[in-house]
Amino acid sequence: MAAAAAEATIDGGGKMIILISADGKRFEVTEAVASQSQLISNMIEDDCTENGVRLPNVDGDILTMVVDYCNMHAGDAAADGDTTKASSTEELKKFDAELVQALENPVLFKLILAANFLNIKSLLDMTCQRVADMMSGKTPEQMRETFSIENDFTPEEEAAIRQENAWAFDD
Amino acid sequence: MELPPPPPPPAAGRDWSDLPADMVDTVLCKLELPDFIRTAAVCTCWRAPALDLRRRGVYSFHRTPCLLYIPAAAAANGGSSTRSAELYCLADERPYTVTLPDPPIAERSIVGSSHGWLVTADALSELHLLNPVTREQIELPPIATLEQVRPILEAAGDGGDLRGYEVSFYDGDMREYRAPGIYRPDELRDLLNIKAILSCDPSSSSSRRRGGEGGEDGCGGCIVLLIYHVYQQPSFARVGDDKQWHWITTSSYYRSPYSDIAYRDGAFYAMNLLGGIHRYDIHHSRATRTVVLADTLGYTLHHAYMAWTPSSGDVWRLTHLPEDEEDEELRTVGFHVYKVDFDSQDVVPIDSLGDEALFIGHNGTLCLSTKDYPALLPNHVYFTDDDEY
Repeated sequence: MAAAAAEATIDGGGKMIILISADGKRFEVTEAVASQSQLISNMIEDDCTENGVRLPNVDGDILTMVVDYCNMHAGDAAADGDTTKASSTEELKKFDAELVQALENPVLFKLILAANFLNIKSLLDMTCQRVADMMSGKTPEQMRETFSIENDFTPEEEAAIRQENAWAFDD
Repeated sequence: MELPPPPPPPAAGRDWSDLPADMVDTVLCKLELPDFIRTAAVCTCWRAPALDLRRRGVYSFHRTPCLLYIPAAAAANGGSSTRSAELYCLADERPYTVTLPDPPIAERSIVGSSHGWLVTADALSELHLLNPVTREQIELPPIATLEQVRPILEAAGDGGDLRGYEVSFYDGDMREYRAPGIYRPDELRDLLNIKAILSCDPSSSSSRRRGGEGGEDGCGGCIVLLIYHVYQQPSFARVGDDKQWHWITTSSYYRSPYSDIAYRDGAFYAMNLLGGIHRYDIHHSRATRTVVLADTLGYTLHHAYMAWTPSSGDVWRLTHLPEDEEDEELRTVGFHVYKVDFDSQDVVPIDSLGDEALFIGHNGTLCLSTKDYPALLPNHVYFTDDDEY
């Protein structure tokens, strides 16, 4: 199976497979592109992608982004030294930065869920890093505001939590 | 084909407090310490995974180191009763004031730090582990159980007050090169201030999996290794389990005054002042020694450190470059760095740390890649002048 996968990569991704979003949109991608998703990679190994892969919890607009991301990053996974297909590191960095910067909060949320479900580690890392960056330097109040989260602690609980590590709440 | 079993589709109106716990974990693991603590105070759904990460000891992973010190002003105002210290967070480039549990931090001396814990010696020279963030403390075995240390009591028997300690200066060959000394309870710690390191975070669940003396295999648990001023020999103890320190006998003192110690891949490593590196594997109360690098020098260094580089796995030997080469006890103005070549059993000088940043002092020597820790400066050494002289 590993040998077959390597072959497919060398001749440009080999077989095509169809991904179908929750709202019925269809995406045709090479196996090499799709197998950046560990979930789909396992399905390819098990030979169960014949009739397309239905992704009932990923919307079409989110799957568009995921497919764009995987197309862009297919070079990462390709054989080392094949510089013709691989996007340059700078290009990739720029693409990734623009992708996450542009995300509205609800989209970022859905993209994290999709990356987790499809098991695409690099995308999950990148989107979670974006959330971490958005939290950086903020007070709990500001974080709640940024992410529209309700404070569900009782005043006593919150006071106790702050007291425990008062130093981190000193501003 | 359908994917079994499909998780529920993200319903409209879901908010970030519904982010599944394993994804919250991924986010939390990317936060620097102050952000981590503040995030754990946002809502119950984020607090639970944060507390769980802390319990599992993942808490201190991959965070840019913080520097801990007692500001001169605080020490001047509060004297030795000062309970607060400053934690300088290199990631957000600002100090935070932490209040630490008794005994006051200003009356303790700091013997070492690793895995987010400090090893401190109180005014009676007893050693504790102190976590400045969680404020947990763990007592280490009585200092009187160190091989060469004997308590001197006021009256006969155990009921008498402690007057001081008698320290005998013998090595593994049981040879004494100087007469025993008498130390007041608060003076003994001056002999302990070289370095102490931990094998792991003692609050992590992996350090608690065994019972008794480190479990059936005699390994596991958190072990503290101490080098002290009886010819810079090592002793170790299992945190929370051992009632006494275990002396690691080393042969002739001339060959084994240790200067730096480290823990890596299940074993302790110690570098001596002749540039040699020895590995110690600990089982139950015994340590077995393997020489991994023979002594490389024909003379004794004043102080040496060893560091493992994260990117290449190379081992470096570092020595202070004093302001005046003639007088090694002066202020440090730089470092000599050598790469250890285990194949040829020799060292070669290097002139750049590349992307690495080093932390040197009483802390467990740390070498981090600035690719993983972008807040750190590449090719820089963060150091404290830890020479006691």
